[in-house]
Amino acid sequence: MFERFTREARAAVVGAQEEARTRGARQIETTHLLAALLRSSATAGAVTAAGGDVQALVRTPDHGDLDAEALSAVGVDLDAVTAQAEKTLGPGALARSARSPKHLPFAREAKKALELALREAIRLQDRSIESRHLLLAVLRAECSARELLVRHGTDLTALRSTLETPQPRSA
Amino acid sequence: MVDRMIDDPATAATSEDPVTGLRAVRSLRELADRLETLQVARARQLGLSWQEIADALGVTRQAVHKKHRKEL
Repeated sequence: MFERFTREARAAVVGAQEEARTRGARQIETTHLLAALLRSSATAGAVTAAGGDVQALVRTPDHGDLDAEALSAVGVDLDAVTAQAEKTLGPGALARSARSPKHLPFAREAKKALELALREAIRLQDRSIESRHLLLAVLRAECSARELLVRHGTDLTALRSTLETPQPRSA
Repeated sequence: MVDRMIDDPATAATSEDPVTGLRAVRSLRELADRLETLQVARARQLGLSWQEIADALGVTRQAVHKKHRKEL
C-alpha cells in the first residue's frame, strides 16, 4: 500500500517505527507517527500555525506500553518510579529493558490512520499520499495522537483547513 | 468516550473510566516485567544465586533460570 506514498510520507512511516523503538514500545502507535510527522518543517509549521505547541508535543514523555496517565489514576507516579529505577539501575534503565521485537507491528489505530490517509488523498483529489494526508488522517481518527494535539493547544479545525490547502514547497 | 476525554483531559486521569483502569493494569504488568529483568540482572551481578532470586520472587529456581538466563 506504500507505493502511492511520497518520499516524505514514507520517511514519516519509517520514522514512526524508529520513534516506537526508541521509546520501548511494542507497537507503532499514532503518537509515534505524529512525532515522526513533526520532524518535517512543513507539518510542524502547520501545527504551530494552528496553535499547537510542537516543542511540547515532541517532548511529551512516552514510555511505550507504560501509560503514565493511567498509572497516575491508580496512584503510581511513573516519573518517580523511573527516577528511582535509574538511580540504582542506570540511566534509561526502564526504556532499555523493554523487549522490543525486530519488526514492530502497527497498532490498530495507526493502521486505521494509514488507511484514512489514502482516503484523505482521494477526497482531496491528490495523486499521491503526502505527509499532510497522514496528519489529516490522524485528525480524522479517534486516536491518541489527536488527543495529544488537542491537549497541547492545537485548533483541529484550523489545522485541518491549513492541511487541506496544498502548501508551497518553501514552507 | 474519546471525545469526552478530549473535552476535559484533566478528568481522564482521575475518572473511573474503565479503559483507564485497564490501561493501568497493562502498564503495571509492563512495569513489573521491565523491573524484573533489571533487578534479576543486578542481583546476578551482585552475586546472588538463582535460588535466592527465586525465593525473593516467590517462584521456583527452574522458572527464574529459564526465564532470565538468556538475558545475562
